[in-house]
Amino acid sequence: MKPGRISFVTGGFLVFLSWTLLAWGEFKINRVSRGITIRMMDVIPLYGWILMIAIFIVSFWFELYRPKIKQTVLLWILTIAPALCLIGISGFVPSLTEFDPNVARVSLGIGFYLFLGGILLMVSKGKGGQTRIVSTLVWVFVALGSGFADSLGLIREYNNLQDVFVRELFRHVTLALLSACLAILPGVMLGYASLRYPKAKEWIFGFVHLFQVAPTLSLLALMMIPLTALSRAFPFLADLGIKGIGFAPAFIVLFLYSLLPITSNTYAGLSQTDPFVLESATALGMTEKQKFRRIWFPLSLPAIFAGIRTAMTQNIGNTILAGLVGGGGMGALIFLGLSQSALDLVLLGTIPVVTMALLIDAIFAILEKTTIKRLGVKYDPHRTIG
Amino acid sequence: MKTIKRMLLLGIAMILILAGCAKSTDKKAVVVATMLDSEGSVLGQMILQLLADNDIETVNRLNFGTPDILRTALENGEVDLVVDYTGSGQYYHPEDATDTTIWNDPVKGYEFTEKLDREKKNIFWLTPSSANNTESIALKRSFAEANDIVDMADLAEYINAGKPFKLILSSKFAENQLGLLGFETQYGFKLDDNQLIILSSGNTAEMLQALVNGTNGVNASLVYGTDGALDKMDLVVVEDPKHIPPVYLPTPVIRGEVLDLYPEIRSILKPVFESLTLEVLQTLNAKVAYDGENAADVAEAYLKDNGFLEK
Amino acid sequence: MIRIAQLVKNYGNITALDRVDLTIEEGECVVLIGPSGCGKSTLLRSINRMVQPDSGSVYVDEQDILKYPPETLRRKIGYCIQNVGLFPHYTVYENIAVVPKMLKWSKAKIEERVDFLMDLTGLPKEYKTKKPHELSGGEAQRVGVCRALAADPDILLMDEPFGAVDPMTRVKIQTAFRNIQKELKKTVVFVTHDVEEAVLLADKIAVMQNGKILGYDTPSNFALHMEEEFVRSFLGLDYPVKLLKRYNIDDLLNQESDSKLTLNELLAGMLESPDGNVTIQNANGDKQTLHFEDLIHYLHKDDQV
Repeated sequence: MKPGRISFVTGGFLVFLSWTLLAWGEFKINRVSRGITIRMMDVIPLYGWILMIAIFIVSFWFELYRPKIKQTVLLWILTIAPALCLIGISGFVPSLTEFDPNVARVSLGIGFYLFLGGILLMVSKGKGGQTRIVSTLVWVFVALGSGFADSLGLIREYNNLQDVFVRELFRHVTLALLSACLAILPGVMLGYASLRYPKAKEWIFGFVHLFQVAPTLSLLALMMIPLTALSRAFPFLADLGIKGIGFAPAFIVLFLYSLLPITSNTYAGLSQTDPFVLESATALGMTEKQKFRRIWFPLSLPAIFAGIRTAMTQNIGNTILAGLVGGGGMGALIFLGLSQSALDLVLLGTIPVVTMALLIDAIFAILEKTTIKRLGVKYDPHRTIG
Repeated sequence: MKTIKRMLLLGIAMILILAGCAKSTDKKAVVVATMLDSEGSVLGQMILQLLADNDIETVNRLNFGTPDILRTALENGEVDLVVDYTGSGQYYHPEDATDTTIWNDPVKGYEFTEKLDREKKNIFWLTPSSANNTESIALKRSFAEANDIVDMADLAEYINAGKPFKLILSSKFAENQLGLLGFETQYGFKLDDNQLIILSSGNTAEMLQALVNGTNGVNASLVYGTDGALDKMDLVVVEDPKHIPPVYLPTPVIRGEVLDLYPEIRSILKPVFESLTLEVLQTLNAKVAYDGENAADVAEAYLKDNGFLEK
Repeated sequence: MIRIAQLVKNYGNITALDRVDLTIEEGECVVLIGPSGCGKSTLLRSINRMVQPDSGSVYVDEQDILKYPPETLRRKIGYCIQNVGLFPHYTVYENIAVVPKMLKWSKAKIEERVDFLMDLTGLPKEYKTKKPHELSGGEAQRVGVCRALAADPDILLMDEPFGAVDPMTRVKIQTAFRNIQKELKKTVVFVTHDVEEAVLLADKIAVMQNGKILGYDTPSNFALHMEEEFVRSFLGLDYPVKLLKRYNIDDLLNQESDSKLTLNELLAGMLESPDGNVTIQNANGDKQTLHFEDLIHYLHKDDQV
């Protein structure tokens, strides 16, 4: 079966599941208490139901028996469905319960997420599938920001802490990306050293591996002790912001974490360069330095880029832990939400992290493609480590 | 090669920008930090607003981190003014805390902690609130009224009569002499394993949910005295005249050097904290944690309604 | 031009070069041939210091190559290998221009040289901006040859350069190389294990085994050494027939004709014809019949009487 059809049918199945079996949302009278389950039928009136089921049945019949008809129009219409459902869910009003409209809120339920996932799978089939996926997500974000979904817990939390949110988002991105950027030069140098001095390779790799294996939180705790001592001994460091708590330990831990992917990918890139190309370079009369600068290093760039990409996306996630040690970032929101059992706040912190990780990954994918094109190198991503 | 140079420059530029941001301003701004909960948010906001009203510049580091981190940050001078609890003194000066009975007395506990912190660490404990945000047992109001339970002695009677009882609590409280074990000794009852549901974390929100929903037969829960749930969910606290769990009064705690710069902070915060009773804090916490109101708004409304800020 | 004296190279227990002596005159194309592991590649690569011998010396223009930095030496020597090793991130033009750029030639001079070489090797002008991955095997190797010749080196070293190319293209490229060599008259050291290739391209052949040179002579003279067992077994009993590929009818007649047949093709024609005669058209337009005896006569014309 073609992959497009598989995703379409699987997606359709998920959508069907979400309709019949699962809660689409929860109406809570206040931030913490559990509330009234919202089902699909509560959001869409009966005729709407029948219409939807009819459309789906017809669409599936077409897909299975008349696959030549592409149904592109239907797929594009589907991209807006989750956004509309989101608005519908947030507009839910329970019939028999008393509530304070300023306090009560709606949380999205697993049914909605399943529906979203199912739609994403369905619209991905065929040409323009990736654009449709992006379009669906864009519509969801538009719905969130439109003002029509304001009774969603997520939006309420956001409205509550708008400037905190922006401030911590900026802090989060800075912490994550800056630490990764700073690790580029040392990482590349370590990778090169591993190649040049094979005896040192075990030590180098063991060293950088250590920081990946050790639990981040333990590392953070460990980092605080020497940093505190250091900042007490040299007060000017404290003025620069390097203290035992907050930005500094988080930054250092993230920096150390970034070393492994960059080091090992640099090593892989350098060691996997076509040996005949390198031989030609020497035989043509290039000095070692010329060979490295003009031939060897440029040809390793795709691998190095892949390492930087890994380091950055990894850091975006790991930075969450900075919230526990006073480093701020989205982690601060997530842990605050956890401590208050306000799951919408947790969501508010998590969604940006996931989005950023995906965004950075996508940006780097494009960057890698263009470098590979420019270099004309055949780069196999499955051959590198990290 | 160009890419490396570009990235290096970018990296250096960012460090410089960051260093610029991190540098402190000329007149020292007071860094205010609190714990990761709704009480930390509200009390922290009150402090920020009061200080600002008195032309003292502040840096907002509310909801900073875990209590240990917060304390370490204060001791290191990374933050200047925090909201801490008087009972914590037993952890800060363990060598001197030989007489454990002081923690059951609101005044003695405060005095002990205040003295040692001042003498040994140049950290000053200002005027505390009277709200005892310590561990208690919560019951549904209907249940308490139906069974005539007002204080721990009544509860002990109920339990010893063999009536159905299930308590949900944290492991820390269950194993603590200043917790469940102390209750049992002092009030004369003993709970066995199937009357307890022990959770590893101290997250009372989950426990109170279980109490409200009656999950697994739970009819009593661990709660902290100022928890907003008590207000919202129609729950009551079982009174504990012997103060078995240590008394935890929320108090503004400030580093000596900063207090020297701004001695007026003491008198600014005194009346406000004195006005915060147990019920008041329960209501404020409920607004933030349950109604989801903005902590700054809640703090501002309270301060203005009580004349601490001009409207 | 190139003098190799008592060169020794061991890799562990294996002797790759066993006190090798060899002299290559200027303008000569010397082909090193032999079975795998005989040391031919090692010998080749000792000339441009890609291999460091254990003892012995190499003199280029009577200068010991160890006397100056290896980069300087290598920029004066062209080098082609089987896998070509073109720089994948450089265009064809940039690949060819590598050494001239290092020698700081002017842009105009480089462009002129690239045009000349691409013409010589039969590469279309449009290929200048192509990247190596867009080229076929044969085209890539031609670029390799251009790159090797770019700085107009006096010496050209080639290590089985046409081995990875398909047989049909290989013939074309060998013929092209032969013509280039006729025009440029470089000193070439060429390694191959293909006897026919050696016969076609060499001015002299050196047959090697186990790190020693067993025989060093012109291709035609080798036919006389067939009593030596190894030479016979390596070159093959049909060596004289292979030798025929080297010459064509113009050589036989000592004048130009309209026929471009090589002598082995002529022989094939003679075998096909019932009386062993083949008729061709010579430059004057006259028809001429060639007999088998003419062929024998030509092959033995230099024999001592």
